[in-house]
Amino acid sequence: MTRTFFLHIEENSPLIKLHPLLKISFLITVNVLPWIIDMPLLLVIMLMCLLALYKIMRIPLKRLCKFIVLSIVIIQAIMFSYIFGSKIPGRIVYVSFPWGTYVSDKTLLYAITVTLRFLNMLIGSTMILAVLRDIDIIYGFLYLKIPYSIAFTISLALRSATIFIDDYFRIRDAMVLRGVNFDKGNIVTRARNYSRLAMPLMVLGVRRMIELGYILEVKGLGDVKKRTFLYEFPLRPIDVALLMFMVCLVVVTVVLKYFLQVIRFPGWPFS
Amino acid sequence: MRYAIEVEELWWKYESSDHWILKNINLRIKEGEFIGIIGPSGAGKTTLCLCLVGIIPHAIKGTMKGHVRIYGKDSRNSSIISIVEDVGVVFQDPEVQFVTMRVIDEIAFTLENMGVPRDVMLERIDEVLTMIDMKGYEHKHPLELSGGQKQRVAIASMLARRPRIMILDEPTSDLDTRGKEEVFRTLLKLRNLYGITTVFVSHDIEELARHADRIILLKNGEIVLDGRPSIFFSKGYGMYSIPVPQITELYYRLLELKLIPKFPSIPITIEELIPVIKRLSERTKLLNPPDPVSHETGNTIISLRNVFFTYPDGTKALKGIDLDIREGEFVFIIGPNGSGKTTLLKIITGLLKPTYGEVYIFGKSIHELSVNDIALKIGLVYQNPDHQLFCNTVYEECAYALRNMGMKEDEIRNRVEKVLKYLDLIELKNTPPFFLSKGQRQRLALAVVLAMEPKVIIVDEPTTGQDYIQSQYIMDFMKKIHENGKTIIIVTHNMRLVADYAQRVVVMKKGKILADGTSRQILTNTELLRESGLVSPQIVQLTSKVFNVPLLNIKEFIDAIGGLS
Repeated sequence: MTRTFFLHIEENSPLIKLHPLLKISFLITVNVLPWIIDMPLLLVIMLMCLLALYKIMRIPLKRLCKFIVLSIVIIQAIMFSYIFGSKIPGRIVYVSFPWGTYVSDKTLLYAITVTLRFLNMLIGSTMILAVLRDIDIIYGFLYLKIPYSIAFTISLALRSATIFIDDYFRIRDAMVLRGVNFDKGNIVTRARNYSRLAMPLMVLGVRRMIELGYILEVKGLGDVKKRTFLYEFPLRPIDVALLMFMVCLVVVTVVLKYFLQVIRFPGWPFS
Repeated sequence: MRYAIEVEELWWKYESSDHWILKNINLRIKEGEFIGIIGPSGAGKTTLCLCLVGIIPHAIKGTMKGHVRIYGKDSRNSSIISIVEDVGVVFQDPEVQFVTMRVIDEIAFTLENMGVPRDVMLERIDEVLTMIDMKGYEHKHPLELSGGQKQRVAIASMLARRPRIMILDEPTSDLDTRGKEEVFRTLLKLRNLYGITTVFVSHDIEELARHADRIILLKNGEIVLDGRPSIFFSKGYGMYSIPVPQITELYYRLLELKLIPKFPSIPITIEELIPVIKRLSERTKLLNPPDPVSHETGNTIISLRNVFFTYPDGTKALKGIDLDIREGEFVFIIGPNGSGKTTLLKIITGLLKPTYGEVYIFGKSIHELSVNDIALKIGLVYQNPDHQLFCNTVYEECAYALRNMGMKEDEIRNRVEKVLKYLDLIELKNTPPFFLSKGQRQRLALAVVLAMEPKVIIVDEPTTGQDYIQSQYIMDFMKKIHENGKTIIIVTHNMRLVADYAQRVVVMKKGKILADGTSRQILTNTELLRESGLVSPQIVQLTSKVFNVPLLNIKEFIDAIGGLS
């Protein structure tokens, strides 16, 4: 098993072995593509492809449970806000609200499309984040000509996020042992309970940041001009082919939608 | 001989502080010397380390007077980057020190920052991995290593730069005996092979006594004692009441009883005391030591039957645990890092549900109880108090759980004030917990649990980062609570505490219970201790060698030689 930022993944997962540039490019693609596509059917097909990739790449969905639950909560919130908060004109109005919004056929269509977009983004990003390691971020970004200082900061932030999650669960456990029930009570009680987590998390976070600052100083981080690198990641023909495939996918989608107008959804409210 | 480090009339205070943290420090360390630094918490040990590596004054704001010179270069006039070419630093918590996700990357990181060419880098990585005996671990995630291995990787990442000085700030405080030995063995090897100067901050006086050339006592920001170990401990024992190695303490006790002659130089290792104890044994009829008094214990209140637990990443933390804890027991759970002790505590407190097997708490299956239900009966004090404190004041911290229990304010006040008085925290009841010292925060974490008046109190590593005198204070307190009828479960690496306080000891390794017995049965079983990576206290080792009858602590030794003719 190889430990990534968020998971333990089988070492033979093809995704682990992917070139860092491809991992970053895939992350960008799965976040850009859903915003170009506005046909729900195409978004559903994309979602199916992503789920199939989980199986092919041997990414255990079971271990991503926490992320998926969180994703569903976020998506639910997005969907409801689009259903009940939009003023998109439609042919059929199902419900009108006193504050001036209404649920129409177009509102529902828009809500479904936006939900599918977010679902694609979250499922696609989760897959890549599940196999991402620090060297992927650093070398992937360096290939994209992003400065090392930025790449390293992002990788450190992701690494700190995993430590932060550990701290969160430890403090939450300590609170549960003192009689706090995070699953009971009204929304105010729950919010108050969660807000109490902030103080120790912040104090621990600040202490860790200070110590980390010292560590980076004593490890000589700073003189980036003379920095050398342990790894060399030459692009193999298969990497170039996959990269080209991703670029083509985005370009073709843009051309089909904006220039040839063949995948534009006819009833789309913002045409 | 050259001086590696020269500290001259050094004074330092932080920008936010009114008082000097370091006061007139004068210190010269020769090239190749191994220096131990001890002192109570808040004495300025870490601040001194930060000065030696240039973090002070370059990265931390404050007022500095005096000079720190590293191989003649004044730290004020040199950048941190140029200082760390000569100095490597290892801090207490290895997990915070790691900035990458593989051992090989961690070692490479410092070299990459120095601009070392790739082929040279690969050679150096290979060299340091051999040096610290960690070939084959290159692709492991640093956080998946044992405590000792983590610190060795932290040392290796510094060594790769080939520093001439190593500064280590309490690197062994969270480690088990084997982990500590690994770290000391590595450092001694480095000193012998490369003449690396070492500054080692620690509470582990027995290891420092064995290995350090000089020990320094720092108190309230001042160096109050500096000398070779034997001189240091002989002066320190009388003048400053510092903790001394157990063997030295035994020497002083026997001297007070006029049972042995005065040594020209006080003994600090077992070997030094063996001849005189042998002579003593010739004129002594040893009384049979009794097993530690076992208090009347009651019914089984915690019962685990064939408990297995596997983490989502596949780590099998518990493998078939069978354990019964009876009411009124004082149980120690010991074992090396990663043996499953903390997982066991989480299972008992309901924070984790067993993957397989049954757990009964006060006769009820754990599946019928919520964590909140269990928390009313079993209190857990965390190893790190900062994970447990989240309220605005000390008083609020203790009252928090009681309010969740639905108690009335009058009753809460009575209970909280009683427990704060008991733990000497009443004067601080309006102070925010994060402004307390670490020792005070640890006492507060205990107070929080005591206020809930649970029947069982579990304490995870109560003495981490504390010297033996502070540890004794905490343990004496736990003993008092036990005498008042509580069941106590302590998880620790500190074998001296086990010898002094335990009635029953459970030894764990790799998720299994290796042994369960009285402290004498466990601490005298050398085979078992070796297998579980633990080392018995000095007195046990000494008496086993001389008398063939292992005695657990100094009190037992003095009682046992009651038959002296």
